[in-house]
Amino acid sequence: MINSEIQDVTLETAEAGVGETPVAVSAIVEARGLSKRFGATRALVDGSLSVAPGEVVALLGENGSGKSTLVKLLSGVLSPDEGQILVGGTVVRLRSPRAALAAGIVTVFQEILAARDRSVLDNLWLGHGSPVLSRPAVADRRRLATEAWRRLSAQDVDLDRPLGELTLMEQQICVVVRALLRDPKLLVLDESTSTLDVELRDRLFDEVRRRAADGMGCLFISHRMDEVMAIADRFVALRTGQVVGIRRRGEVDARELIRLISGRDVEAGARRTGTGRRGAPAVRLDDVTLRPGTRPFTATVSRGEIVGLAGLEGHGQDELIRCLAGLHTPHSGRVYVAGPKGRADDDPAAVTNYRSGVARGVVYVPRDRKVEGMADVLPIIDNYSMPTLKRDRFAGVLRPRRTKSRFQRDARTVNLTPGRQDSIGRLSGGNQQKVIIARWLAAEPRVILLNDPTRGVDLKTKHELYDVFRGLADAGAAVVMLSSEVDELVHLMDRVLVFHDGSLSAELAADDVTPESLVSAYFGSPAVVAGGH
Amino acid sequence: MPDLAYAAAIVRRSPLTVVVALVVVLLGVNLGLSPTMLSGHQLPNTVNLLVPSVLVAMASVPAVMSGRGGIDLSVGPLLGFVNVVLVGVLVPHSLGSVWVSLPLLLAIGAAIGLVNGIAIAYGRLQPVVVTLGSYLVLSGLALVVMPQPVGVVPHWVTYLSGAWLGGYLPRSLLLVVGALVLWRFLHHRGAVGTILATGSDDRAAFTSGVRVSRVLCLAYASGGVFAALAGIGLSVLIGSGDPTVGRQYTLAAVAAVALGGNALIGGRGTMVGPMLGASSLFLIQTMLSSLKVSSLWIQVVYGAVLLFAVCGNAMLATRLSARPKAGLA
Repeated sequence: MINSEIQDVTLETAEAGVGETPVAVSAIVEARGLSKRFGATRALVDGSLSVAPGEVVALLGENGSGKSTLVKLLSGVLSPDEGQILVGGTVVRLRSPRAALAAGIVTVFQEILAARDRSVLDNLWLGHGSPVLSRPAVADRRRLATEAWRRLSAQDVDLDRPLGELTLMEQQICVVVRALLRDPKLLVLDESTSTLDVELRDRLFDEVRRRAADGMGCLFISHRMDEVMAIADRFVALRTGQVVGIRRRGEVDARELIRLISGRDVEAGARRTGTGRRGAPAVRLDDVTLRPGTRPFTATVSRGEIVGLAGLEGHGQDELIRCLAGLHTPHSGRVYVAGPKGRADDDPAAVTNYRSGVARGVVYVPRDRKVEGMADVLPIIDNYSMPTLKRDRFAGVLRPRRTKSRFQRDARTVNLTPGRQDSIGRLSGGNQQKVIIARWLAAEPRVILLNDPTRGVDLKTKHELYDVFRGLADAGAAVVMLSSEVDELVHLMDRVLVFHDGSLSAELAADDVTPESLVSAYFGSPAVVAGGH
Repeated sequence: MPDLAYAAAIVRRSPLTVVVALVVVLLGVNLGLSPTMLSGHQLPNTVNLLVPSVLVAMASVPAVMSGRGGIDLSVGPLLGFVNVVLVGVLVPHSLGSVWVSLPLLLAIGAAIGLVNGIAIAYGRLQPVVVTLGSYLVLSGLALVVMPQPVGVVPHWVTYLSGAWLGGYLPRSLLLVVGALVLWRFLHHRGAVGTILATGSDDRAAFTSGVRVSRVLCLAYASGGVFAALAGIGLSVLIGSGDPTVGRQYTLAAVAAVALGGNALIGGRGTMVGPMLGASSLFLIQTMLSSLKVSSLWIQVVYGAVLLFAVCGNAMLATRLSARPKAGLA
């Protein structure tokens, strides 16, 4: 039934829809029948898309649906096997990113692509002009960079600092500002909002709208339905490499878009299926301060519950989860973790470093899995077994068969489909995260720390991960999860700890967690309700 | 330990601190041992000995900066090859005049560097393998052109071995000045920044519109030009042609780059650092010979100093990066 509904909105209908717009307004960029295959995999089949001046088009789809391929074709990273790309009505061949940039298509890629050793200024102007043949006008560059940075973030930046010293969010700002400095005709934002906090994301949206009013087009990709609904004029849905629907703003709601993307009925928000049973406290924070001069706070996390950590980027939630993991030392106070049987109160062992946490059954899933979580070129199974390999010893010799059987069990739990010998670097973000979570399942953890585990993960996988987390909590683990996504906090968590200015500013019970209460707590005051989420 | 933290802060601001300190200390020791080293009488000899080492260290810098395992092992043999071509080919064919031979030699250096660069950038070959190949080819070619050390250098090269101002301004420094002017020019035109950005993250550079392959070619070609200048410096020093002496410069050049605080993985580094690194290696050598230590020990001391300096740099740098980086959870 659902299928037939989607059938109605295939490409033909979509093209009719495009035809309704006045012919005079020709598309800034148009893709016609783009196809690309990698070996036996058809990554994109007959992909067509157009963006008119002033229009924001959302490209929707799960991981592996062909979004990234389409973005790479438009940005000159890949060349299509078939099809054409038209810029301003003329067919162009984008042989390199430089050619795409010259044609006015500027892309902010999902990954933060920047030279971390170089200064912010160098990164902002990377690729401009031609070394040796032209001379950079440094004074102008500084001025323009400062202005653009301030306009986007309302903050100033030290242009001479190496980019690697900045926070992840500032690095993300850098790559966005770099794109804006190119005065794009078409701005492609591929998951560029995932590291931005709510305030900055709204500023970015304002900037996009401002520029769209001047005729810029924007192709926007995000897994966050609220963002997509907030900014897009038109929605293009991809599934398994094909365009499965094009809708206008106002024609659809989030629920229908999700159905279009996934091909089945999934609830927009995560379901909370907690049993409500609380076990003994597993983690206790005693008069902890994260930074000098902040208010000390005390909190506990019990077995069987999922506790969310939230706040605007850089307000202390990240430091806290790292303190729990033993990777960061609180400014004062102690973090206690319960022993194998006892309660945190009876048998307090302080977590002072990573090893002492691990010894107590604490596992930590880092945010930046590329850098901190995985060995890129190794197969899935090696990434899985790394920390628990000792268990597969028999008389001092490793037994690969034991590893394999353990892997099969845990892979089933997280619903991991790729084969165990595939290299992890080639998996989608969602599948990589599944491998890393399976790895820690194998350690039979008592406390699971998840640092924004669903960032850049598609909706379907997100829901699978939620089920896994809930299953772990039901099995008696204490789950602490940092999340920057309001939906997730509202629907998954048993409790949410909100941080502001380096301290705990609010503790919300499940029933009190609403988008409004979260946002007001983000800003440190119940009076400031930004609403409209 | 506040003192170490302070030292660390200095190193952070200037990665050259360790090598500058090394040069100052070694210079002091050398002057204590032979106070006449910097006199007008001895200075030209000292500088002439130093110039090829400094230039060949400069020659390895751009390749290392360009990242992707960038290294140019062929700089040593290239310097020897340039010396042999000058003495064994150009002079006998009456092409020794400065207006002919100098541009020709620089062009040879650039061309050989460019060939390395093309193989690495477009052929996607490993820099170590490519430049080891050209290391062997150039070493062999030098021996084919000139089987034994023979010949005389042209007049302008002899002229460079002298000095102005009663010996206090050795003319061989002109070669270093020339190299620095070229580097300064590349810096000014944004080329050095682009090489470093490519070395730091070549995918970021590529997707930002940098023509990465051309940048790599530029890096290796400019290294070739510096190596050619080093070859002229060698001719100034030995005053004849020698097909075997070039090779030993390669490893000293790599050591100088490491001593100078440049990251061997690319993306970070200076030109002055490796120049000072080469100078400190040179000063160790003169110190040991004034102390009448057997020359067999020189390599041992080189290695020890290198490890010491690199460890010192790394330890101070780690202390700094130990402070939490927000966001990198």
